[in-house]
This record gives sequence, structure tokens and C-alpha cells, in this order.
Amino acid sequence: MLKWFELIGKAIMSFLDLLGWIASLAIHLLLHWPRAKWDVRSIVDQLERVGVQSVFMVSVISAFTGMVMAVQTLDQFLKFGASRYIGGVIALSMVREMSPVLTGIVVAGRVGSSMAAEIGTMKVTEQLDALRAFGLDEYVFVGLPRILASLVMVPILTIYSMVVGTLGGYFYVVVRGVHSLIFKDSIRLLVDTYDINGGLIKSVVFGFVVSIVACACGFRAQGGAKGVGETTTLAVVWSNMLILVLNYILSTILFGGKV
Amino acid sequence: MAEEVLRLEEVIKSFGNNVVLKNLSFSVEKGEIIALMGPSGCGKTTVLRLVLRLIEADEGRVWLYGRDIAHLPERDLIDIRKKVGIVFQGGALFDSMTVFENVAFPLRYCLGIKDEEKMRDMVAVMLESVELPGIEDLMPADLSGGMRKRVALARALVYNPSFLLLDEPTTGLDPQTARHIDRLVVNLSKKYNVSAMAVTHDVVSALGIADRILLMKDGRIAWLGTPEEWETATDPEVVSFLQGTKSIRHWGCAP
Repeated sequence: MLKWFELIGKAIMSFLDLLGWIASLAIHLLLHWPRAKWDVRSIVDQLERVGVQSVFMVSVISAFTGMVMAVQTLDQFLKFGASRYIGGVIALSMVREMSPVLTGIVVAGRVGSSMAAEIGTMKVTEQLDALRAFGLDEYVFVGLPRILASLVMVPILTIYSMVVGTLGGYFYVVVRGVHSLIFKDSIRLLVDTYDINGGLIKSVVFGFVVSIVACACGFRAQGGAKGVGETTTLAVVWSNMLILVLNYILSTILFGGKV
Repeated sequence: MAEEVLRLEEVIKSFGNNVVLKNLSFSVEKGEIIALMGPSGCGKTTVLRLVLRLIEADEGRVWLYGRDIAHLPERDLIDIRKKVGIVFQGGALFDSMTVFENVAFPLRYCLGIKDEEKMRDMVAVMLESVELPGIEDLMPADLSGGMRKRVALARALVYNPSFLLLDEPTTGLDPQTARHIDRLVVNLSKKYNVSAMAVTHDVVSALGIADRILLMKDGRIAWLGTPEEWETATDPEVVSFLQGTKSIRHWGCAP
């Protein structure tokens, strides 16, 4: 029994320790980026890495999620004669919840892990020390382009996911005999700009979370290949957990009580 | 009296409960090459990292170019680091950059050179001097261990530092490449009056390049003298260290 308490205590301490380090890294970046030198050219590489290389996964996951939502809801809606709301419900789910969360999780798994592994490898092979030896701030030089790229690309991927997911649902619903105009009208009826903005606010937060957690974990890597592997796992696990917890908090703030 | 580049005064450094450096004091003079030798874990690399304040001393002082680096503001520290070139143990070349980008890195970010043509010329000259011409477009992954160390040396020297730190520059290299790197260090030191501190386990290398040899044991100086004194030393610490460099055949343990 005591062992269980010990394990839970260790996990909580480790999480709080990471949160503290993430906060201090964020403050460091905020205070030092205007004066520190950083590689503007590497932003382009990072934009390509976060955005372009994630498009295929986001497409597949969003399209099938939209279709599954249609499969699960269409029969229920038909039973209650509410098929004219099906498009709006699918689009609303994608825009408010599914697209920001799924995109965040895809980017955390695909890009966050590789960021953490890359920075961790740089740490254990003394490349970060080399940057400091050349008089550079390694946190700004390595971390900032990655964070900026995530802040830009995750919202763009989220918009793309909103469109693809809704089209996935549309495809299934139309094949099942619901008229496409009914689908489109219900989107106009139920989804407004506030919903899209809310989804985009979430995606900015998730983009920041994924990149700062990946950087924070990478900068603390220790002990060779094993340490880098553990760092990578840690980055993905904590990013996903934070995305889901923050999603609940943001949903409550942005959409709680809104009809 | 010769100008001092580096002075360590009673430096103490611990990692957790492990005290790595215990009241370590020594100095390096301008134009001098000093070799730090000693068994693994005796604190040699820690000394190198302290010099650039990549880690901080718990107690004692590190004077670099007459300035106590522990109390330097970050901006001054950056300026003083620009006078020091460092070759890390594994080379620490940036994996995602080509050889050209690696060697040009300090030109771009330390000296602020923006002229690509000028950088190309400077990098080419430096790669020529480490006898690796024409490899600018290769990635670090394409290079052998010896080539990586030579590229790292080119990167450390390209912005004309006046003090060079070398962390095991010849470890893991074949004897021929190791002696080639020794020759480069000595020639560059003589040509540009560059001081150097080399951490090494390679006795042949230390005897070949150093003006003074410092033997460390358990975080302290066990012996300090010239290569000539080293070769005739009867000090038990030197004798014990040298025994470890001889083949087991010498001690009658061969099968």
C-alpha cells in the first residue's frame, strides 16, 4: 500500500517539477529573446516540419473522426427526425473540440517527440554546450524557432482539420441519403465565428504546450540514448495529458453556458 | 613575468555528494600549452567546463584574461568566450548542418560576418589547414571520427581565438591521425601564439604538444612539470599512471 502512495507521490512531484521548469523556460524565453541571437532561417525548417509533415496524419485522423461521428449520430438523429441538424452538430464538434484536440495530439506525437529527441541528443552530445561556448543562449537559439513554428502551424493545421473532418462527416451523411443542402444549412444555423475563434484559441494554446513541453524535456535530457528515449516518452505523455486537461478548462471558459 | 591567460584559485566543485575538484589551483601562460592528464573521473573535463562557465565552481575563483568569470555579467561573459575556442570530446558538430555551416557558425554568430563569399573563403582556408579541403558540403554523419575532430578543430580556430580548450582531441583515433592533430595544435599555437589546455589520456600526445603536464588525481594536482621532467620522473603518482599505459604483456599477464 505504501509503495502505491510512494509511486503516486513521485509522479506528482515529477509533474510539478516539470511544470516549474516549463514556467521558468517560458519566462527565460520571454525575457531574453529580444536581445539574444537566434537562427531566423531555422524557422522555415521548423514550419515545414511542424506543418507540412503533419498534413497527411491530420488529414487521415480528421476525415475518419468526422465519418465516425456521422456514423454514431446519424441514426439517432433520423430516429428523432432531427436529420436537419446533423451537419451542424458534426461541424460544431469538429470546430470546438475534435480538431484542436486531435491536431494537438498528432503534433505532440509526431513533432513534439522528435523535437524532444533532437534537443535531448544535442544535450547529451554537447552540442548545446558548444552553442553556449560560442556565446549564444541555447534556450533561445534552439527553443524559440520551434515554439514560434508551432504557434503558427498548429492553428493552420487545426483549420485544415476542421474542414477535412466536416467533409468526412458530409461524405458519410450524403451517401446515406441526406441532402447536401440540409447538411450545409445546418452548419450555417449552428456554427458561428465565435465557435471557430474558440477552436483557434485552443489550438494556439496546444501548439505552445506541445512545443514548450518538448523543448523543456529535451533540455533536461541526461545519460545517453536511454535518457533521450525517456525524455521523448515523457514529452509525449505530458503534452497529451496537458492538452486534455487544458481542453476541459478552455471548453468551460469559452463554451460553458453558451447555447 | 609572462602574461597569464587562465588562473584557477582553490577551486572546489561537487556533483551531489561527489567532490570532483578539491582546492585545485594552477595557471596557464600566454602561448603555453598545458596537458591535463589523469585517470577517468578525476575532474579533467570539469576543469574545461569551468573555464567557460558552462558549469559554476562551488568555491574558489577562475580568472580568465584577468577577469573573475564567476562574477561576470552575461554580456561580458559572451565577449570573453569569443576569445576561447573549444573542441569537445565527441566534436559536438551540429548534426543538422553541413561541414561548411558548422565551421562558418562562429563567423556568423560570434563575429557577425554576413558576407557569404568571405565566409566561404575563410572556411576553405581553415579546412585546408586541417588537411580536409573540399568537404564543405558533407554532413557530420558522413565523416569518420578523425575527420569530425579535425572539423571541430577548424571550427574552434576559424575565428582566431587566443586560448584553445581541447577535450581528449586524440582519443579514439589511430596513431597517425592522432599525431596529425598534435602537429596541427603545435603549429597553430606557434603560428598564432595561441595558448591551449588539452585534456588527454594519450601520453604520447601530451609529451608531444605540451609545455607543461599536469597530472590530476582525485580532484587534486598529483604532479606538475615539463615533458622532460615527466620522462625522468620517479614520483609514485607518475610511475603509477605510466604503468597503466603499458601493455599487459609488459607485466607478464599475456596469455
